Amino acid sequence: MPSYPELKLYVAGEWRSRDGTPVINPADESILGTVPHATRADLDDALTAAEEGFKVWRSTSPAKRAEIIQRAAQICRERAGEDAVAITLEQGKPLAQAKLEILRGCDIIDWDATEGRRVYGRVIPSEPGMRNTVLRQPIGVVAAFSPWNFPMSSPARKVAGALSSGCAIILKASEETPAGAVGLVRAFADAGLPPGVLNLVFGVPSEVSEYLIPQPSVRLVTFTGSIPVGKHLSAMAGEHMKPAIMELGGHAPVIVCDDADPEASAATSAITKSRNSGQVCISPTRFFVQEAIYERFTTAFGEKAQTIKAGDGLDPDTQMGPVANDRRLAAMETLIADARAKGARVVAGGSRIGNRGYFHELTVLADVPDDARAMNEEPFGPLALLSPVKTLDEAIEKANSLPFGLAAYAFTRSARNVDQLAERVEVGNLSINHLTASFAETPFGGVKDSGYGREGGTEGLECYTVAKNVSHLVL
Amino acid sequence: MYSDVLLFIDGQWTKAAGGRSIPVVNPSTGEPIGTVAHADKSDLDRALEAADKGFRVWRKVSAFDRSKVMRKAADLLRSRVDAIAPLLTLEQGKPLGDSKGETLAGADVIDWFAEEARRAYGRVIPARAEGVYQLVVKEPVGPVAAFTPWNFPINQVVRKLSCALAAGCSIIVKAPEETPASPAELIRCFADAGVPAGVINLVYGVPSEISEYLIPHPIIRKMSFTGSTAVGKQLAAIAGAHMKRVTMELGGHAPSIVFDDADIDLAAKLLSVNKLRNAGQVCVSPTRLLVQEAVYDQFVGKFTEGVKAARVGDGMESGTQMGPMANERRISAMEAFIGDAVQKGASLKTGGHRIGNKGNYFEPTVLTDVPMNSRIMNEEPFGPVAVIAPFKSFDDVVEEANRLPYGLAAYAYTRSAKTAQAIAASVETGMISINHHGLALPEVPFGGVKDSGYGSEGGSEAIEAYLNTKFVTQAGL
Repeated sequence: MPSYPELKLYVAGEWRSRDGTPVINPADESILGTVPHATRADLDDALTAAEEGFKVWRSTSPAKRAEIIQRAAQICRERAGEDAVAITLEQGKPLAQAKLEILRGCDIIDWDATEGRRVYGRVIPSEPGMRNTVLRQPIGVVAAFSPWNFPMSSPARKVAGALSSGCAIILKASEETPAGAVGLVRAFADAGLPPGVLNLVFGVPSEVSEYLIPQPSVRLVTFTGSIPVGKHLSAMAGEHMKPAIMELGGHAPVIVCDDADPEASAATSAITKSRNSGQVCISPTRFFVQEAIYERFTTAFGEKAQTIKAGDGLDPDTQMGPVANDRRLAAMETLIADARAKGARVVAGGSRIGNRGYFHELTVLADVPDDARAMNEEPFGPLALLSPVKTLDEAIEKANSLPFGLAAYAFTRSARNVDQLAERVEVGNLSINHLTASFAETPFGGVKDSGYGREGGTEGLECYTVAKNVSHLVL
Repeated sequence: MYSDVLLFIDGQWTKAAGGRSIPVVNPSTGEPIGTVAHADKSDLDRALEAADKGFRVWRKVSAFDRSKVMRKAADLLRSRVDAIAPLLTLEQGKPLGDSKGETLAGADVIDWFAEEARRAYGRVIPARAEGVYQLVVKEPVGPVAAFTPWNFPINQVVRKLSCALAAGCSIIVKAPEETPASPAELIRCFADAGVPAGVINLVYGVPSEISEYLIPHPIIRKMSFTGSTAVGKQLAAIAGAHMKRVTMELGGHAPSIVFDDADIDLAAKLLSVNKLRNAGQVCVSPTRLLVQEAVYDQFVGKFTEGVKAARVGDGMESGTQMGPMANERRISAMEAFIGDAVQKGASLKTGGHRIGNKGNYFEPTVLTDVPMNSRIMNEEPFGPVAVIAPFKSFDDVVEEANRLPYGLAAYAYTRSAKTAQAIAASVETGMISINHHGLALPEVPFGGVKDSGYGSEGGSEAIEAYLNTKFVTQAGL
């Protein structure tokens, strides 16, 4: 029996056990453990600890901060083998993908740590005797809320961003996939991070966020999750004058132009769609394919999708695990039934697999009409929607028709098409001829209802700092 | 010379569709001087439609050409200063010289942002594989809704307007109903300079109704607000609920710290002049004067002399140094603050009362030994009342400076390099000016922290708030 770690809160530099709710393995519906729920007193302790931790950490030199943060990344890498097992158990993704998530998380931590030494202020030219400078200072205590789909790398972005900027952080990670965050926090604790700088809590999400966000010492809110919850939290943040980073849902269009290779683009699309069972905010979802190659693309996509082996993530042959919970399973069934009733045709998959564990076939629907629910709501599951378009203009218009604007993809060999796509598609991240939307060193985030603020890139630490203009007449 | 102010929608100056208007009153006399059109919902719908259309036009205009049009607007504004400044003084009350200064500073702001338009750089990120290009491009966020207050009728509009236009955005400005004519003349300069119809729209009405209608509207992608913290929080909550990007320039309560090694004459002179500027109705006004014990009596004496010497009167009269307050509400606010402070043990060194019974004049006032629990030590005074309290040590004054939820401006006077550096690092504020009052130049960041808001309206930071970051990664096939 592979081991699942004991789950604890981490407050003021100590691990705390509490009563809580069960963590379920989505592959077999067994109970893995109990995620502890923080009491009000735990949250108060975390706030006090973070306030104290902030004082210590902000006066620690950036070089020293980077050393500790990078040591934590190194520890995470060394423990990737066992931590990946825990992530697969709680979240379902294949073990190799869990390990990759951790290693990618470590790259993100390294990037942010070294960006922390590059949070440059500047000197503004002014008259002799006048010093006009801009300092960048850490904003203060951060309240962070991370989702279940990337148990380690999503909290890693927030923790690394906050700590690299000199902020303290209270992380409320997902109750459904808590071990990823516990492993991450343990690495920072073992790396010698001073107590209070990083605190980890779990609980009833709305209760924790509604308690933490209005607290005077909390100066920044960062959230990754759904649009409705994001709007609720950013309204609360606004009401208390806290800036926010919002990484919300998407509904990524993939525009396949008739000068692209239909078979190659379909094959890579099917594989990327299957990643994390489609439970990725940048998952390629709406495929708008030019008519001349639509049938070839559809056939190739269906064929490739059928080769992808679904199963328990711990099985080395598995390419796609279960969806995270029974809610996702029900959502998939509803969206597929609705699309079929409106005229979509099933090219691959279409059904739940078995009746134990939350397995669902990688499903490819063709000729999906614009008014199908799946075309308008983020499916967040292994569902690809194919639809023919006549022109690039039509494809871009459809791509922009939703309020989402996170990731988009396109396949084309034409420089003119590339220019049109880059100029006109309303998103934060556009990948052309490949399907990787972000790296540690590139800015990641959305526009429109997909949120604001950026994680990664040289933008990544901006939100965690405030600019201070110091204008000094030297006497 | 003050004529009725109209709405500006889709390139046309127009009365409100419903024919309604609001009277405009001269705060120096209490007399009505004109009216401003009161937009109703159909006017707002037309402004939204125009902004949507205007955005599509303006974003296609090259940064070079946008910059040229903007610089032309700046030149027009400069050339019209003698016509515009009196309107500003008549509706707002500040001395004519200050109105001219505000108008000309507005032109400098336009010039700065016109040149920032051409510097909205993206970048190329080194890729991990051959044949891959990774680009970060900056795009205009979309139509902007901007809400501005009455204390700097031109300056507050021009920062938002210039920044939006520089980025390639269109804008709907809801300018202040109490001081509508000077912002309208500002916008006329842009229209006359050749900004296409729909790119700039100007409305007035009931502020809460307009903000509650515009911010959630799908056409609007960003909102910018300057005003009180209380209203700012309401609007930020609305913006958050609709996932709109936000810039918030809110109230402050600037700690103004005089250390015992300071040039006391200089500190007393600059602080008294700046305290009375715009009758204290300035978000960066030096409000909490904190003076080290050894120089406290000396400073209080000199500062009070400076305040007493200020000449209060109608802004149109030459020699006036301080005009009336903007409206009756400010008068009663001052009376309540002073009564409360005196009752709690503060001593009134000078002033303390309304002047006459015509116009909203109030005496420049100095309160000393003001206890920390008095209302005026906790709420933004926004008026010509200076409060002075002594402090013992560096640590004590930092604690007092950071005690309030505000964090906009701060001032300090010291000759010590060590103290200057330490106070700059320790005060929780968006701006600190040491040994002079040098905030709000176009080229330096302007904005607050904590309850004073977020985002910046000056410097190279400002345009960021009007841009989206788009990452484009392209593999050659």
